Amino acid sequence: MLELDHLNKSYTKGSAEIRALADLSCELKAGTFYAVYGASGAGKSTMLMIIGGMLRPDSGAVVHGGKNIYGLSSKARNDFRKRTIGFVFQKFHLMPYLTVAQNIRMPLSLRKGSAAAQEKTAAAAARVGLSDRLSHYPHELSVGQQQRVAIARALVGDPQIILADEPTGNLDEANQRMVAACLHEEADRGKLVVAVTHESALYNSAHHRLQIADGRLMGQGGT
Amino acid sequence: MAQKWNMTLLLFMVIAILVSLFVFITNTNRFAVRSMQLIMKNMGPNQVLVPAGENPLHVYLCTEEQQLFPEAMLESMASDTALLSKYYLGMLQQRIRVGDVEVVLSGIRPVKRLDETSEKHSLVKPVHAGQVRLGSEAAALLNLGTDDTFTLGSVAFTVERVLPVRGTLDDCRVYLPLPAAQEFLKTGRQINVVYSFECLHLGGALEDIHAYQRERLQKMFPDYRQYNITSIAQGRYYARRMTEKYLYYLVSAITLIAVMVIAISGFQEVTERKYETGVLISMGAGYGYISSLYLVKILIISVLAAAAGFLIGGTLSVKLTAPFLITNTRHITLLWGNLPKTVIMSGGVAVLAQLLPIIKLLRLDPCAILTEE
Repeated sequence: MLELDHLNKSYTKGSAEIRALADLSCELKAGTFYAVYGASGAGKSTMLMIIGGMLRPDSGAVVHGGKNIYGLSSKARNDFRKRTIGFVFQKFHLMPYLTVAQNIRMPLSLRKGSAAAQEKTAAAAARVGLSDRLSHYPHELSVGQQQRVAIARALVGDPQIILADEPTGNLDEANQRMVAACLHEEADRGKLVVAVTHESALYNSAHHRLQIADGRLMGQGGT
Repeated sequence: MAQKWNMTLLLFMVIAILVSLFVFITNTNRFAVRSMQLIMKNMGPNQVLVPAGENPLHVYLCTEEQQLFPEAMLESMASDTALLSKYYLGMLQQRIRVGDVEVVLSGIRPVKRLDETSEKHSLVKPVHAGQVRLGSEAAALLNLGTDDTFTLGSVAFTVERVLPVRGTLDDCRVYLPLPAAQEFLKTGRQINVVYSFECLHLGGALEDIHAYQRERLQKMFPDYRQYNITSIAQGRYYARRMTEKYLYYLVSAITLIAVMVIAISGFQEVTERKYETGVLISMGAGYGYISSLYLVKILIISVLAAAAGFLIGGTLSVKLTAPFLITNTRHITLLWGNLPKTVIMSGGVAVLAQLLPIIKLLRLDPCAILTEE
């Protein structure tokens, strides 16, 4: 489904150059839950952002549907994110002044002609067990519930690829299990799920594990 | 959420107050300028036109040595709209004795220029046939008041009114219709001076305006010369310059404050909403779309605030304008015709000011924002 082809990315911080990704290549298949792990600063989040079309690599390609997404125009790449990608962040980044339903519906409101938004929103909320919280605001929810809203927001547009950056980082064990179950369910439905994680539970449950160190893919393996 | 509404409300109020101040100032300034124009106009003509060889002393003293010239010159001058003069007044003036009293007989005939607006009325009202108008000193010396009869030779005139004291030669004048004066002095259809009001509406330095007028007069009427009653012309000039400068300064200050307030609140909002920006970009929204959200918001706020400010400023200008600024030529009122201009200006300034925070928005790194720990 997605091919990462010799990706390189460097940052400069002051006079120092930091190599975030170094010749990273791999193939990511649909219907698979990938856990990406590695030390802090290893390049995991950079990899996630590049896969999501948010960060242009210095060289290399991210090939989806036979096309390098960084060969697309800015508008086409935005459209790729809109239609194909669902992001989940460690800090959730919910809009505090929108209700749960409005937060979940956000990706649909960016799409032209997205029909049945209300039904899709209700279905996404139901999948994360928040059907009774649709009119609540984020500050009225627990931390675990907020992350579930963020997951529902990522899923509502039915994207082919779900990218999660430390999705269980701020959660207790019960909520970690629930989030992991959600992500697995998506993989089982044929989606590509890539989650950056430090949590052993999520890491151990993944179909496939990618270890990154100093921007390089050091190892990979499946369960 | 309440804080966001507070900021929006604050922005709305600031823009509304600034627009109301702008409307109040421009509205009252319009009347202030007009009042000063009328005050200066009421001081009388500021320009004297006489034959080129005339000795002004004879004109000042209204002696018999004054030269005469055809009354038709009045129409000729009034038809030249390139001249800056308005409110032409042809006069035949001469000192005469009425019994034991010496007065200045002043036959007058105002001539309207084609482009004079009816709003301002003529500088000098004509004296109707069979009537005279008396300067204050002349009335006192002749012991006459309004509706009394004044006899000149064998002709009787009714005193139309007595003018207030001016402290000038005009106090000693007996104004009457020009034909009556011409008949009494047996001059035929001639006059000996044209008074007019040099209009300074073109702007520029006073000396430049005088020079232009002299040049035009020399070209079109080479047998005539003009001299200015400088104090009146200068007063008029300074009044205009002062009000204009005062207006420009205040309008600039208001615009600058508006830009600063909008830009600062915009910077703050871009910073506060950086996570939203990051999330929207991750969902596929472009910077153009996100920028348009900011611009549409400020445009809506500024348009509504401008309308509110227009109403507030306009109403206050009606209610609070000092009575001395109120003239009989213009009524202070809400100038609805200025509403579209005010709203468009306000929206334009707001959008321009918002472009500064938009530049900051475009420089945000969504990846860094979204992966912050």
